Amino acid sequence: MIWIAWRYQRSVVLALGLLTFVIIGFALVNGVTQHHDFVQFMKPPCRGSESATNVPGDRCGILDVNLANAEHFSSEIRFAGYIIAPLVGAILGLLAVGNQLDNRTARFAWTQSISRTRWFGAKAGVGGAIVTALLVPVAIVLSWWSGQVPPSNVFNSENFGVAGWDLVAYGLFMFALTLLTGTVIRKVGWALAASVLIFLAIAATVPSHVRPHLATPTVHWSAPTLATKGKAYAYADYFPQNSWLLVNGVVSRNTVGIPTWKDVFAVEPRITKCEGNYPEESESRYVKTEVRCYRKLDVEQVSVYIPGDQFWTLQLREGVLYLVAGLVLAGGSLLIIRRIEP
Amino acid sequence: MMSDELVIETEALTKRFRRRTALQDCSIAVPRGRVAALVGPNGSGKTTLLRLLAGLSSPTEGRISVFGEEMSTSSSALRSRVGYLDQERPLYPWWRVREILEFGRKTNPAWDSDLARQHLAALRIDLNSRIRELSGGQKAQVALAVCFSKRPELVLLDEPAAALDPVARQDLLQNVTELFADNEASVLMSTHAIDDVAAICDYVIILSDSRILLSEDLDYALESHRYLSRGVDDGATVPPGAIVLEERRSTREVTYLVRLAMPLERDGWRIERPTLNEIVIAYLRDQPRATDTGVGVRESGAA
Repeated sequence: MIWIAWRYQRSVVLALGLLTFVIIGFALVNGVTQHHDFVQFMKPPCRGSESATNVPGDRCGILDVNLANAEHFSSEIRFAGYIIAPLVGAILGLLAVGNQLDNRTARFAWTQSISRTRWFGAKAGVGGAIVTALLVPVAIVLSWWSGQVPPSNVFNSENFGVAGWDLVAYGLFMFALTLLTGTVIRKVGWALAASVLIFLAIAATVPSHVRPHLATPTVHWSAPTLATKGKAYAYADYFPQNSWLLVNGVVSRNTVGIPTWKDVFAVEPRITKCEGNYPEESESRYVKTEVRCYRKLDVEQVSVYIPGDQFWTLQLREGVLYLVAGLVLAGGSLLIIRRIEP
Repeated sequence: MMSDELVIETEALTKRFRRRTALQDCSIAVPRGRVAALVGPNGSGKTTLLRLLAGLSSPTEGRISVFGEEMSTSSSALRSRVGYLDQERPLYPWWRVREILEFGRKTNPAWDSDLARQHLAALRIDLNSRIRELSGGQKAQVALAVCFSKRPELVLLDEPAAALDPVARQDLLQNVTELFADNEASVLMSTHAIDDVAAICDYVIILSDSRILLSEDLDYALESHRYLSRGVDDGATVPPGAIVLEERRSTREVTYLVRLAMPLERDGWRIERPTLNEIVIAYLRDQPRATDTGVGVRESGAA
């Protein structure tokens, strides 16, 4: 059965393999050159953009232009990283089941001496293994590439999906999703359209509504202070670099549990009202007014964030979530396949 | 060798697709070793019945038994004894013929590789050809090769000769006889062209508008039907026990195609033997009234 499952999709697998090879190669070249240019650009004599000029032959200027160009390619690599996982999953998932129901070749397979469960097991198993085999190298290279390009927050939505192993989980989830849509809809085109819509809806929801709950955030309280010299606010923003800031604002000190934006918005009108009671004065006086209000209202500045060292924990948990959802979808697909009429 | 052991038995089999009824209350019992023709017009339910027997779908009501065991979509062990040739020959179009045979070998424990290769070599079908490059007749022969190389005891053929030219049709039906009937496999083959299979079948099932109208041995069917003719002025009624299927009148003569329930006394009738084709057409034409009486017939004495 493994040979049969492989034979059915081998030409498509080879094409997808070529595509992943191109992405990997592009990311490797881009990562190496961009890292090299960035290191050179930050070292003396360039020291960042300080010494860069537009004078022809100026090495710092050339590096600056190179980095700008490389940054342009970075967007394309990130885009390719986000596209490749669902693309591989969708194509192989639809090919495994939906396509055979659409062109009715499932009838040929299902009238031989093998059970539908075994047929599906081989199709899903081989397909899932190929998705993994194609995407693991991409995930490894893009994860490395993310560390080579000029530093940016790995929790940013544009980085998170391509900077870890979740890329593989996205591909496997899409594979399982298309197994199910292909089984239910039985028309490859419509099944693909439905899968893409569902996947986009999930991809848009998870970062804001699910991901923040997958790791325990750190809560940092700051009392209002006048010690923030040179700043026009009565508090200092506090969250470490490369962390994922979830909530940042002023909340009641009596807030129970982890503060949310709802708690921030709840005290805002009271602060505005309090500050309105004082005449507008100079900036320094305004800070004093703020501090006075905060103390009067018994509120404090809070930063809720997920530290950078939680990145892999978050990747692991979100990945497991996608994989479990994928297993549920594949199980649903099997239940339907055991009953349907091809 | 024939035995009375039943290879196919259905009881009150009904299959509905949402609001459409594809099969209604069908009961048949086909003994082992028969080459049965399943005859009926397009849309009569032939394909639905074959798919139910092949374990591709499940009945809405009723029971299907193949070799005495209940057939269902999960009966993989039972399916190893059943060969099925789909009407649409759904072979993988991009695969080569030898890969299709390899598929058969890997999915059927009793697979006979030599049989398939010899059959296709005799037909000069290149094993390296891709399925999509084959003609309709060649594709049907490859599908047939897969079907018989699993050494089935029961073969279900859905319109095996459909869309083939006369030569390919003749060859395919000849192969059916050689490969299955001569090897004591039971065959159930659907067709709406009874002439094609009349020479090779020995059992007939007539299906129309989702109902079974007739299911019996061909010899019995031929012996139990007769044309009875006499002058229109004779005024005689159809003999007792004769059930009229068809009535033809001219200015001089009236002719009945009847099903006989008992030996017929000549009694002034000119008696002729109908062909299978004529019997089938009479049943299909008379179908609305036939289903009313439950056995596909009109009561005697109608004249």
